[in-house]
Amino acid sequence: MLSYNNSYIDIKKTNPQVAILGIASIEKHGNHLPVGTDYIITEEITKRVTKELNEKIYLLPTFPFGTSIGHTGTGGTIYVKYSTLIKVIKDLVESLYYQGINKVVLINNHGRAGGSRIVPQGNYITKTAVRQLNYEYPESSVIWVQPFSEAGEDLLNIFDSCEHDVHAGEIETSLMLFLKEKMVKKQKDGNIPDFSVEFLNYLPFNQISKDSVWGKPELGSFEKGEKALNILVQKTVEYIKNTFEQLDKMKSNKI
Amino acid sequence: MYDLTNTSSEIREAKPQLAIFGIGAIEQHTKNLPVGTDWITVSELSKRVAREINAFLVPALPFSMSQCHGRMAGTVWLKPETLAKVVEDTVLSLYEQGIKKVVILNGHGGNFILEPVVQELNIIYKDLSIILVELEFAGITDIHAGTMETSLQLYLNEKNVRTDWVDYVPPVGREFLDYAVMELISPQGVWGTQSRGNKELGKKIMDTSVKNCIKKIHEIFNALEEKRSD
Repeated sequence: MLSYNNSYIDIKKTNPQVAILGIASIEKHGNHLPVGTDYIITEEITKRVTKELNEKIYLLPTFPFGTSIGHTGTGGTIYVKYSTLIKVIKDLVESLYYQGINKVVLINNHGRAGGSRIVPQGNYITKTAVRQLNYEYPESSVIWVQPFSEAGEDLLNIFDSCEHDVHAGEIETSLMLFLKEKMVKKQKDGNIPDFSVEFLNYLPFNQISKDSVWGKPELGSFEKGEKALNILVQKTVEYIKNTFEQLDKMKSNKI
Repeated sequence: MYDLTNTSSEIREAKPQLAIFGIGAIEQHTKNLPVGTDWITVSELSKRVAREINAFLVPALPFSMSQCHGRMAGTVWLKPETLAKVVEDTVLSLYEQGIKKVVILNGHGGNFILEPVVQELNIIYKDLSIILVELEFAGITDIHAGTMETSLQLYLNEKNVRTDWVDYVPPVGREFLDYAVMELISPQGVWGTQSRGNKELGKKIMDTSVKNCIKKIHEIFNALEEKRSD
């Protein structure tokens, strides 16, 4: 695995063909989790995924900021607009392209359980950025993956409130208890707003849910967090392998 | 309903509170459906919805994010950044004249920029409510130029449809549209089953979509008003 800890010459000699970039967010996560929750979890997932893949991969530092405009005005939240994030993603992928790294994986982890391979969560623009890059650089393969979506069914078996877990709930609390227990404050009981998630596009988060919690953090535990992290990594690795394999086949047959 | 056939003073006096803005596309729909398929459908749907709820009907936008059909003849696309700006400007010109409720009725599956645009405008302009409604029909899962679009064109635009049907479902998931152009995934540009399309089904899809859109528009605006008056 190559990272920012390697020298230019290490990276040049190893000639990595794949790069991995996590995209996170810095935003309010209730009163019990740090604002860096998404960032901390994403960094851990991307690091483990890269190790698991066991190939010559260049792991980039996770991009900390996401499109968290729904949390505007809450202490500690730093957002980028979607028009900014798409530029960031394009620039980073382009700079990899010019050094011969044609396969890039974006791990979008500013989201919730559920979702799918088709519907982006949180950082919606990730999907659009990927499409545009693939149009502009047809010889490259840029793919995106959402660990929480890929492992969706497995998370249902681990978490009791999984179906209602949108933000700072049982899942993120458990992951943080496993990764950074000291940072997790005592949790009050959470709540599940009487809205569908599309309302996150229509109202600021704290108008939908007091304390900006949507889920049941009180059900979180260290053990659940450990189990979940393993399966998130495993499913993400499987998706990356299968998708590149299919894409290579598709492109070599037809182009 | 008010639309581009009214004078400015008629529209001013009527003080419409809500506008409908459809988003279409001009893109290949294989060899037998017109390239204007999405635009024709969404124009009709927006008109019917606007009529039922007495809204101001903005002419549906013909062009949107069709780059995945880019190399196929007749396709004309906008980049996501461009579509975002067009939607923002349109919504803000309505806002300036006091129309603070806008329904974006999306008639093309690839317009993923709309969700972030809608979210950002709603947060930045606190007294503006833009909602996003998609053309949906339960039970049909084809993705492009399949049963649903064939049926709708047979119903709305039969004279421009030929019946040399193509049935093709690619052996990959829909997420591959993020990674490869349509031509590579489906050489004839179909993802679905055209031969199952028919006129009656087209009428049913249109009627149901009008009903569903109106129901959804009422539900969302009611919930938003309740929340905002809290």
